Amino acid sequence: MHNDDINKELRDLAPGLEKLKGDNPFQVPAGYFETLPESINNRIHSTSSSKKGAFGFFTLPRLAIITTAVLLLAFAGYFFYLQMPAETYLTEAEQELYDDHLAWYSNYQTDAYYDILMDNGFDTEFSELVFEEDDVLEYLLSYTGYYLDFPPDAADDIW
Amino acid sequence: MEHYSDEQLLDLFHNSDNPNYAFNLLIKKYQEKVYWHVRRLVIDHEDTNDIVQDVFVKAWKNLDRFRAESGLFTWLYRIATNEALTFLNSKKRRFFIPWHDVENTLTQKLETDAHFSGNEIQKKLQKAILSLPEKQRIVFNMRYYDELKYEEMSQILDTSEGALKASYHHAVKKVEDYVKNH
Repeated sequence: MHNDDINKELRDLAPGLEKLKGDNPFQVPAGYFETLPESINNRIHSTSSSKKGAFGFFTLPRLAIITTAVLLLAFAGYFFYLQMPAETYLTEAEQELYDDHLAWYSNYQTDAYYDILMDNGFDTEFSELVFEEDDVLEYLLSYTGYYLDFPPDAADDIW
Repeated sequence: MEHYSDEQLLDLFHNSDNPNYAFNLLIKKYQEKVYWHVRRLVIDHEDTNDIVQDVFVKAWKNLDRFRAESGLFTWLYRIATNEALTFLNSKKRRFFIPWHDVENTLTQKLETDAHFSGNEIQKKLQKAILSLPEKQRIVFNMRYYDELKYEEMSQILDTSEGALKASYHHAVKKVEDYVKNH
């Protein structure tokens, strides 16, 4: 019934084409459809085994791209780190020394004391002060003499 | 083999210990329909063989997610149509050629194809079909050769039945004119 409708439609539209309809001019090699299921099954198995070998999402090219990207990022990070100014937080002993010196400075050299506070912000606690590593060394070396001559304890004694 | 309904095949695939067996039955049931649908679109047997295998590999990979909202047959036809179109489009992209050159290539294949046994009038009919725009060609083949209902074609091609009917009528007229005038 359904085919009759289709044929009637075609007959109404183009009767000449209806006559050509039955013939299939294409051919397949002999025995093709008997072997096709086996070929399909082989392809299914080869596809799934090659997928396993390539680690699923991480196929070999993807793996190479990801590894290269990670290495590049690591190198870039390392060079960026080298370019950064070295900063350090003071150790407890250094902090103590600084506190003493600042106390001493606040009494004897107010300008220098304010310079240090200006660099770090006036509301910064001593324990939170951040110093450039080179500045710390320079500071310690510069004022060792003062320290020896006028240790903070001595300042207390003076006052 | 035809005595298994789609529901029985799906049930066997999902619930038996041997889904391979059920899938083999499915291949045997639909391989010829899928093959001829693709063959009429890409003409060459070797290309068709390759595409048909891909169609069933995709079906195997996705069958456990198939929920039978559309028929199994409709679903397979949709995969087959998409695979054939992807193949033709990849040819266009790979060689940067327009559609009419793909049509020429397919026509040349028709001339040299060892697996084409049609007489002159059959060859002319195939050339006429190849001269149609891609979508019209698919619609024509589905209706003229595969004898699908417009409703089924609508599900496969995601196009309204009215548009498909119009497309088929245009295609039939063009093919008839070509056969008469060439």
